Amino acid sequence: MGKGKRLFRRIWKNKTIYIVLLPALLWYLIFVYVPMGGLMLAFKDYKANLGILGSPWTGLKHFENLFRDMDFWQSVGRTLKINVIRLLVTFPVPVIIALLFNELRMRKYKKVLQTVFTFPHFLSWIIIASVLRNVLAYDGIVNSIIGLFGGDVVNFLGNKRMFQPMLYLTDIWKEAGWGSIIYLAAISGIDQEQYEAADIDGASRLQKMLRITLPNIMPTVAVMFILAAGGIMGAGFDQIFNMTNAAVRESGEILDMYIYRITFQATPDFGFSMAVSLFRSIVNMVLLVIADRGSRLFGGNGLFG
Amino acid sequence: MKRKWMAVFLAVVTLALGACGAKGEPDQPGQTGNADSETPAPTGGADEDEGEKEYAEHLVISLASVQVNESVDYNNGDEFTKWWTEKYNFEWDVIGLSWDVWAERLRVWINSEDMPDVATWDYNHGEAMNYIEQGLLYRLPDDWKERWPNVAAAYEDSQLGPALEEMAGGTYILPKPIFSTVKPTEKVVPHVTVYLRKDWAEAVGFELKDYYTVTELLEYARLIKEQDPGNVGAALVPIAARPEMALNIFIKSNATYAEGGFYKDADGNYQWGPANEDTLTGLQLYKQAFEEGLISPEFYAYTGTDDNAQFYVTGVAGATMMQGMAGAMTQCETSMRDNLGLEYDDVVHTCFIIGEDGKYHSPEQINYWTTVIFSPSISQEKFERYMDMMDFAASEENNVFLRMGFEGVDWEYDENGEIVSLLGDTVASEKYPSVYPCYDAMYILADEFQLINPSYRKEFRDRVVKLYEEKYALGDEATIPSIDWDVQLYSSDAKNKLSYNWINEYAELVLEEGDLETNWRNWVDEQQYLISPVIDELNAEFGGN
Repeated sequence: MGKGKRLFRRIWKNKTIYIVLLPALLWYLIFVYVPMGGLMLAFKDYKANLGILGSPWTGLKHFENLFRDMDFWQSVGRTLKINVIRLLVTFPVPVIIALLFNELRMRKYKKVLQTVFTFPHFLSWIIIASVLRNVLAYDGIVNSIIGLFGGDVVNFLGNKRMFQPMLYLTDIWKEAGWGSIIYLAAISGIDQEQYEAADIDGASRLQKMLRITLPNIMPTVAVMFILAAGGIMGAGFDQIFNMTNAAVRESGEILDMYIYRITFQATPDFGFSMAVSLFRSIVNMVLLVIADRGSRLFGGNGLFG
Repeated sequence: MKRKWMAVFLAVVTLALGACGAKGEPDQPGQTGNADSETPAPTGGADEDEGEKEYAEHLVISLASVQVNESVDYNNGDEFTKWWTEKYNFEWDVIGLSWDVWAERLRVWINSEDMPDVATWDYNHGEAMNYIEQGLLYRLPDDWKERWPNVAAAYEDSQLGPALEEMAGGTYILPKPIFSTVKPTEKVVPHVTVYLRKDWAEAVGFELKDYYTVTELLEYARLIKEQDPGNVGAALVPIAARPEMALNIFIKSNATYAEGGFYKDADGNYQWGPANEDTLTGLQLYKQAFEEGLISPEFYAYTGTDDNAQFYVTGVAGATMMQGMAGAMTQCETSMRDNLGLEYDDVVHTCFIIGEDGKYHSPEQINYWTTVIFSPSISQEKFERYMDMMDFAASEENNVFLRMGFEGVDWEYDENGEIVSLLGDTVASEKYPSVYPCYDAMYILADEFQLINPSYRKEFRDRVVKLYEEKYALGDEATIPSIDWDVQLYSSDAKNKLSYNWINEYAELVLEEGDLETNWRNWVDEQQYLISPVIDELNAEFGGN
């Protein structure tokens, strides 16, 4: 029997699973792979009346212009700096929260805490930014409290040095609880016999956490880390767009802000914007592969096992 | 089993067809009209002349604009909009755009050939030429000026329209003129005005004048800060100015071309305004105000019109800058009375800012704000219907109807032929929410009518004209330079790439640590890789050498 025939028979045998998979495959095909055809715009001088296929080719013109643009390189540097630090600072927090949640014994209290930690994820950055503006303003609640204790007013909103730490803190506040869900799911899959054996051996709770729980969720941690590393160049637009102001704009002009500016706040050049996007995707791909190989190098799991 | 799948398939097809049909025109003419409603009789003038024109076919016209209010029902709402929709036998499909997404939404729609029938567009020359070249905008028929003479007359006043028409070889864009029949000055200058607390100025012994230099304004702010005549305490803001208004007050008052303008120097060579020393002068005054605490320490974090609200809502500001038309003055008066229990005449003084050289600075403003564009796929019927409406709106005799409502109901002429409002304390736009800004700004903008609109106090209207005249009198060709159409209508890759947000650029320089002059010079140097190619092109094309 030919290979193709065998594959077809296998698919037919598991047709129910494939039917369930079909909508997701179609979604990916229609909304992810088909639009990739638009990437050719990076090498074209886009004319709406001629369409993507009919627009004239320009070779590497957009990339030449791009690599000459100082704003572009500055935004690339800033994106890498902000998001690499963000990854290092924020990534461990959901893992820690999941480990701590797992140690809670009062189920009701655990549920309440989980809800409290997860809730901020559902707030949009525009809401969070306006709350922050009110809370951290000169006459906001934080400065009022500082004032009550005799301290000087702190310029939270316009301080460039505080802007990036504020990005990380708000990111943790908003997303850490939500991010911990996947690790809690991984924890719930750990074989309970390991804990029972540890109890017999007289292991403390901390030892069980560090020697059983953590190693068991490490494959999930590795996959999440690789995925996060693969999104470094495209992370944080909503947050920075809403939290930035004239005083700190320079600290927050990441690559996505640059793309937004050249596409929507200037005479549009869709070919040029696409060239920037393509560059961003390639860098993300490279980072993803590096993180994947790095994970394997250190004995962990890669993205594909 | 097969039947089940067939039923699912039919359901999906039905839903899809239903969805497709939802956006289309109604099946029956007048389907959404309100035939039973009694609309007041329209005013005289053009309406009566056009009486013979009947519109048999019911149309749905989609309009995307920032000049509409999505909470208003433009089809079955107030009597004013009913009058329009019944007279012109159409219904609106209104797409309200907020200011922050206005440009980008239209950009996407136009480029994807999916724009609504009509749109209000914030004109950008580079884009306009691009769109025209690609056929993405509807080209008006060659005889449109004869067919819609009122629009044509106002179009000539817009300055931009005819200039662009000559360049593009046809009419694609209808700029909305700010002034048409009534023009306060020969060249249009900005109307933004500083509102001072008159009572506080008097309390600290500050002389009230129609205009001040920035240095004088800062002196007022210092006095207010030191003496706090309003007993505001820690919340006091001597000058409440968001970055946009701080740019106006401190920089543009001194530097004519501060907002990225290219201009010819005495030798006929092009220069770039932000690199001028007068820009540095403005920046230094701006920084001085910030460092002395004369503007809010968090002026960069203002959103919307927070700064103006500090003047007329919370009453903690000694001065602010906002629109200088009679409508804005009225709004300020109402708000101060409602929120602070203060009478405008007792506590407000309006004035403007001049440069340290004693001159008023501003390039001549092109007499338009926003433009009307049509979808290249708009049907002939819809285009003509909309042009008929615009022509009605642009006629001099219908000006009053457009802004004040129905004659005999909302206003009337007195024995001297003067317009008298019959609405008491209210105005037409409150009685008919559809008036402003949709119909009011259909073509000629309302600025002009605000100069003569009796709904506003005569003192306000006179003050607006006086300030306009004084600004103009305090300028000359160097400080209120005429429009350079060569630069204005020049488009190239290098020029189109320039995308500065001047409000933020200057605010950042003011807030940057270190020596301002050094920072500014470094910033100017950093911009040269973008600016020099444009200057070279302009010099090659239009320069003296």
